[in-house]
Amino acid sequence: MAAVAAGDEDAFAVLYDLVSPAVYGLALRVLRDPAQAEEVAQEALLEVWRSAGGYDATRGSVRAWVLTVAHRRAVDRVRSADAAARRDHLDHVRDGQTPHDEVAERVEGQMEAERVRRALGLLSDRQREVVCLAYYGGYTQSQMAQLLGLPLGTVKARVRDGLLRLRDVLGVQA
Amino acid sequence: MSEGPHADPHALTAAYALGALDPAERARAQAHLDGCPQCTAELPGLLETTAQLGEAAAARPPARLRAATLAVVAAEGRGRAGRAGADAGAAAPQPAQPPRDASPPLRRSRPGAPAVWWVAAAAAVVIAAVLGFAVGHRPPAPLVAVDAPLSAVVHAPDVRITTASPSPARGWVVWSAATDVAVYVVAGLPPAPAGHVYQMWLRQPGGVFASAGLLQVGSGAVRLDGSVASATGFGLTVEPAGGSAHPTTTPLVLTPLA
Repeated sequence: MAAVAAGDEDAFAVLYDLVSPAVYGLALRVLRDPAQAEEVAQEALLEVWRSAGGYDATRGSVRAWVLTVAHRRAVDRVRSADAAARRDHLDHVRDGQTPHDEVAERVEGQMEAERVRRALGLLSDRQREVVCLAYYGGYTQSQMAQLLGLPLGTVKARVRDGLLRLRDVLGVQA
Repeated sequence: MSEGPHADPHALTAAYALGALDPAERARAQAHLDGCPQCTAELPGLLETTAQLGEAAAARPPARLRAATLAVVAAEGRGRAGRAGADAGAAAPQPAQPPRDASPPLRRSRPGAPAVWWVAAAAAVVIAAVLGFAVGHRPPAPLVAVDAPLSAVVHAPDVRITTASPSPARGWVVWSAATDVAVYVVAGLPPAPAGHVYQMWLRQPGGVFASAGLLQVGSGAVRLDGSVASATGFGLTVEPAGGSAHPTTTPLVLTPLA
């Protein structure tokens, strides 16, 4: 029994090493605060650990599942934050660029970041704006409609068109 | 487009994948997904897309995050060892589901399910990451289409994984004694010195090293020759071209398999 548990922990350590930069980096991008990002990253990683048996391979990759957990925790946290503080970061978020104060910390996955940046560049400005506000800013469709002064239906259409376009330009299988 | 709560629920899938829904909308989208094959089929590709947005934000976490997280895992793992069986894949009856809103779509919580689930997940991520790397950052094809032994070992009930990194490259051994299959997964190994090759070894009882084949790739996954069921360790050495009958250099990596 002890051996099973030990093997289990080894495997989680392997998984930690593979996914923690994305989990932490995503939390940092959304929350814009290293201390909160660290807390949220730990919560997310432990949620993943505790949901043993909870992953269904037919519904996506492990990596996508882990990042879904992390993103949800990060946006739940940022949505409870002060609205004015969130707006201070709007310009960073809007275009999907790496904020300057994060550049030094971005040591891994730079090729991946560049590839995604180029893919975002192939979206229309309007599509990129809503995709980035939603994913990196944690804004809901309703919040974006208010923020941008647009009808909700317009925002919804841009979100859907933008994400489908991004999927296609990134070469992800539909 | 109508704005009513039940209008065109299919249109929610993208916003759901992007995390752009409030909790009530999220619950509605999840309920719809559970009953709509069309949206369920669309979801993995959309989640893979948003995962790449997440990956693009990757940053180095503080070292204390690793220590703190793994300390909790170790403590909980010890508790779990007393409760859980060692058989993987046994579909335990599903006790109370967690509140729907707390549960991403891919999650089907099975408290008490075998802890070994983790190992398969870690193996799958390692292999997908390395194959993705090897083909130039394109999303890896489903494992089964890439390599049957890899798929078999990842899905074996007793799959195990351990780190075996020949610094500065990264490497992992994924193995299953029941199916007697072992795979070495490696990323970023520089070419061997001229006139030399990398050779893999399995240490058998008695301390004898048996060749497990030559490693021809710097990044990828290779099935090991020989039996892993009785092996107690894995090693990687640099040998003269053609390989050696026994290791002749200090191993770059030597990892117990137990």
